[in-house]
Amino acid sequence: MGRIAGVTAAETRERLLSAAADVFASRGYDGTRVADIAAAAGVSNGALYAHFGSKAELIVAALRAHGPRLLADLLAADPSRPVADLLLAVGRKLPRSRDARGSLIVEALVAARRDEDVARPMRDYVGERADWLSGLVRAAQDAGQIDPALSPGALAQFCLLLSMGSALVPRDLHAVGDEEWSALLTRLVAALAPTRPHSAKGNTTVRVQIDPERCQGHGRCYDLAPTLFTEDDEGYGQVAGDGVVPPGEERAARVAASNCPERAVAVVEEA
Amino acid sequence: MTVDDRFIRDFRDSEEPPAGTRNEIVTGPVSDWATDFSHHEPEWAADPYPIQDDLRGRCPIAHTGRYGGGWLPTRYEDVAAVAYDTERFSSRSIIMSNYRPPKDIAPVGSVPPISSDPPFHHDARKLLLPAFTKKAVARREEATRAFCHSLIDTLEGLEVVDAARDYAQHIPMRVIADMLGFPPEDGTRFRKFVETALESVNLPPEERLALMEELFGYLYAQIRDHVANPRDDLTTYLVDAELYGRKLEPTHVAGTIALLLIAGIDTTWSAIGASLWHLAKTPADRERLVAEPELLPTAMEEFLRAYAPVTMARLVKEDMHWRGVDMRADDWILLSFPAANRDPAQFDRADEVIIDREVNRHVAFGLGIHRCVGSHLARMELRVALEVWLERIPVFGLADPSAVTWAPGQVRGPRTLPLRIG
Repeated sequence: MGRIAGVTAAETRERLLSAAADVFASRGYDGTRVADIAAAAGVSNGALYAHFGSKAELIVAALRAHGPRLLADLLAADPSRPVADLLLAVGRKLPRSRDARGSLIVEALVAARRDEDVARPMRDYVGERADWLSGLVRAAQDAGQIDPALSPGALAQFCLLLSMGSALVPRDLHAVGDEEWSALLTRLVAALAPTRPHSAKGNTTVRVQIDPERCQGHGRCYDLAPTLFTEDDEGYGQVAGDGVVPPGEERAARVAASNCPERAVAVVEEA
Repeated sequence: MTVDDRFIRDFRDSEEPPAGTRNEIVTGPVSDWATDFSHHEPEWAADPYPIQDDLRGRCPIAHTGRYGGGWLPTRYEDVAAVAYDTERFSSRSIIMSNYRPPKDIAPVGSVPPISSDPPFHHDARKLLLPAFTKKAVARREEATRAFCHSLIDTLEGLEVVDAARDYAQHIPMRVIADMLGFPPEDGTRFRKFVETALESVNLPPEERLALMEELFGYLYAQIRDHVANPRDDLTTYLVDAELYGRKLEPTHVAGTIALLLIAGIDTTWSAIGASLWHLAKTPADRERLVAEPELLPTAMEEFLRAYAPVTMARLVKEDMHWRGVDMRADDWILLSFPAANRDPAQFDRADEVIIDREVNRHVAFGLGIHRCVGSHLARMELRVALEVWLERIPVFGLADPSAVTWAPGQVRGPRTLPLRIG
């Protein structure tokens, strides 16, 4: 017992994941009994436990199999498509209205708030998605499609928020039309482009700047990055030499910039 | 060459009391911090942070009728806006008291350049900057370190010491006395001057005036001695300095020296004391700094953020509606850098002391054109004072937490700090 005649283990697993995705999406995590999923998949409880140790494991596995994968599908369909273009395409397709399977991610996130058994694998899942997105962004930066000054992690976070938020707050809730939405996204994606085209990584120059109108001589820059900054005879900060940051000192440059009380120090990347 | 007779008469020799306006002095328990605040009450001196946090959440610009009327912004963005706006907020007086100097004292003020407004401020400040650069103050590090060691030597064999009285206060006193060329043994007088300027604002006006006259009487005597016997120090430098093609007004020289003496002492004394107080009550941080001395410069910035000693004041220039409140001309603004430094909108975990905080845009030394001119000197003294203490006395704790006392008013730091070191 435990196996439907003529069905492989892989097929059983797939039927369970598909059933789990539907049942969790419609009834929520707390409202779902493992037996409901087994019944929907047409297998016994025992067969279910042969594949999945717990309800928590099942919801995250269902999410991996049937959660949001629009971007992955589009990328698989055309691996050479520019990432900015892909992001735009995904953004346009973010659900206008609630769809059944789309709620799976919402239910899983809600469950993770209450249940540490769900929270742990969900952290892994969200972390992997963020890493994967960051990787795409980094590749796009290397290829000169996205401004290398942008943080890949921040952009990945932004995309994840849009994707997860759209499952919670669909556009039709506020009657936002396709054209308006598209126009907004186009503007946003255009802002991701490099300030100068084709600045492939390796050719960019990192440079520090001081705005003399803002500098008041606190000296945090030359305290924290003494090779990049110096003081003049009155204690105001000066950029040392031509301001080009040697490889390996980017971090010191950013620490100096982020500690200036007057926000007078900037780190810029140029082609 | 003509004799320099600028300093023969005290500028305060006149029989007339100084012009300006005085208001009724109100002291005693605060009824509601949002409408009746006072930074000179014991509750504020003991722990102002919960008060500031509460006001930031519900106010966020508190008012008081005391001191003739004033405002207390508690959010970082409001503090920054006041600090940057020299058009609408004057530095004509920077100590919130019951006396407002006459309007015509601007743009110079009584203690330039901290009391000065643009455009004069820039020129008066420029005179001081070269003496206070990081490079210039680094030349004093060796002597400062030796002095700190000599102070620790005197604590040898004791079980309980007062780190504020026996250690912290002496360091900035000695450094600034050396810079000004004043007798190093005059330290106890300096302490009285500091208390006069900053802590006695609620004394009757004639008493306060008499104390101020004692301070300036001392300063004029020192200046006259420098006129007669010029030497290589800041006092002689200011006596000889020129602005707009002529020597400085005697009141400018004396006012700037008063500023350097007062602001050079209690601020750094407070910062050293507050840092030692934190380490005495936080063994994990103390042990980590002993084990990782290279972390001290970062930790020090966090102490400056969390326990910023200095609050400044401004006077509103004209009646105006500002960020939701109706300010009147000559209302005080209590410009609380400590409150700004604990605004959770600006700092992650603002109420925690995180000694390896990497991003720390704190404003302990102010913002804008009045950035503390002595900030590099203060940082050098604070770093050396803590390095020497931790090296010589790595194990210490509060001997009696309830015996710790804090200075009230605009410069806050421990004034009694009994530590068990034996």
